[in-house]
Amino acid sequence: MSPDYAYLHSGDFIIFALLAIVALVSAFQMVIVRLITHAALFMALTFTAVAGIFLLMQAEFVAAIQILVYAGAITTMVIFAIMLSGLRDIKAERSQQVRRFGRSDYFVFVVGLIFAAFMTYIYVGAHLPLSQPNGSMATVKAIGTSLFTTYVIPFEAASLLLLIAMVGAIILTAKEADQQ
Amino acid sequence: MVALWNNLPHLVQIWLLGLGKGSLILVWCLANFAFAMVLERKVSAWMQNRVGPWRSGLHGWLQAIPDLLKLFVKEYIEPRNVDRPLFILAPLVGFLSAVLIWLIVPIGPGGTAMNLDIGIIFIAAITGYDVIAIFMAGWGSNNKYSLLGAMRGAAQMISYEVTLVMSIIGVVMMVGSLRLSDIVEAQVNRGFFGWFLLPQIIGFGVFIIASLAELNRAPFDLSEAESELVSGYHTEYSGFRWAVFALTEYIHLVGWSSIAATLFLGGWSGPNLPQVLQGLGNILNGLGAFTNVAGDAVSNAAVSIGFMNTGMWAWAVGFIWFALKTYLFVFLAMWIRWTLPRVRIDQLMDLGWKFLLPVSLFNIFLTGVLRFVAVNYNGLPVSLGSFTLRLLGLWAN
Repeated sequence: MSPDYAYLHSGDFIIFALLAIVALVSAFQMVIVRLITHAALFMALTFTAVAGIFLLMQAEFVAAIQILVYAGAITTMVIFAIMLSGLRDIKAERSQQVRRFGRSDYFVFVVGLIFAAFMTYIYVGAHLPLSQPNGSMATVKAIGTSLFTTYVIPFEAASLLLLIAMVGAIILTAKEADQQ
Repeated sequence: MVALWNNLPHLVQIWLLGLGKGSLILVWCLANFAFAMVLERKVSAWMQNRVGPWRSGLHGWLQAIPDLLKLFVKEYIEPRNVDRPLFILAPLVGFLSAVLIWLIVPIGPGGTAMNLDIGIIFIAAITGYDVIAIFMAGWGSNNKYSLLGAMRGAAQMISYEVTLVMSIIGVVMMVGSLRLSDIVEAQVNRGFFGWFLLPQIIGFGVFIIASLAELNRAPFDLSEAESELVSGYHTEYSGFRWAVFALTEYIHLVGWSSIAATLFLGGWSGPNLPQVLQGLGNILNGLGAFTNVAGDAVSNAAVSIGFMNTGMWAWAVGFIWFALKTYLFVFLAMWIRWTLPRVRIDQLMDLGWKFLLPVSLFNIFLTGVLRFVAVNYNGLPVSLGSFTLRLLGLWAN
């Protein structure tokens, strides 16, 4: 089967390319930017661009959850974590010069390369299904039905895990409050 | 005109339609801002026995135009050491999220810009950007008061967002769909006065309180508490950048009011003129017991303007009902704002987490149990229990 070059001229591809560029550039910026608050906001931008790609595949539900959970909740949580840590240090760091190449950078480079190779290996071997034409993506109803029938055990296991995490968080903070 | 439209390529049609809808939404938002802002000032003046805006145009009802023009030509004051990209982008991000709500609100029969399958989740998702916008403004201003206001605002909004979504779940359970137009249709199909206001009265109460907190409006306007924080995250803003914050606030207010109207008051549904006249004629005729000249005349008038049941007329009537119901909630929000004092931050958090969230969870539980009973024991004879359920509109049919 010859590759379909007509796709490269379609509007879908142009929008996908734009979103992908935004996602990649902001992910890169997130890593290299000095101010940690900017990094959090770049992270939100990455998530938004990925949600746009989901929307392009007519997976509206996944896109909305991506924005709700990642761009909304997780970014806010990161921002709160930043605010609860020392704020003065964050502002001071801005003026400091960060050394570009240190000894550990080669190690980071090698680890990154191994990770990239691993991801490529998984992606190539995954045999992902082709996207279906005519917008036959799962609706909210279909997702909900399968969550509560076919996948009810994983669903309940996940909720139990979250409950345990919540109880753990409460116990940890309650201990701290007692000590004060 | 139609032939010209049909001859256009599909891609051009999509883009033109998108541009048209987007422009219409923007114009609608600006008109609502202009009206709601003047309404707020009028209402506050009326409640506090003041004069209020009175001079510019039509007894002050056009006050928004000179206000916006004034803000447009004002100087942009920008303190030193602001985080410039965030400082400039923050109002725009907030504005975007306020406007995007209107994409899915059904403002008439079939009058939705994007009839998304995910409805309510879309709104909840979009609201996440408000937190980011407030944080960007507070952090970008590089000012202690702004940052404090931003952190308060963010904490408040993420707390109440959970409650808000939970309070809506009851309605979604009764409809079986997240799509807003489906929710309106379900209320239309439930017949006379089939709003979700009564069966979901707990959810409604929680929704109203939580949406006020989500909007950062008094009595929950802690993020801009002027007696403590100057004016919170928009202290450093001036000129049109500040105006965008004001725009955002009122567009949000009207947007959330429209969602409340859609969820709990049946959105655009409502009787139109022929139906009203038909009912009036029926009553004049003693509900069919006898006939008289006046009743017949009114009934005949209802038949003669029967064309108002269809097409553009039905749409216009739906739109009027929608606007009326929306502004009912807008007025309610203003009423509360100018009546109640501001709560403290710990009271706010306690109210959200310790009272409203459990109550909304209980509402989900209650709705689920009642729906289960109503669906599974549909053959039960009319008893006190089933009568109450019928009255509340929780019965399956």
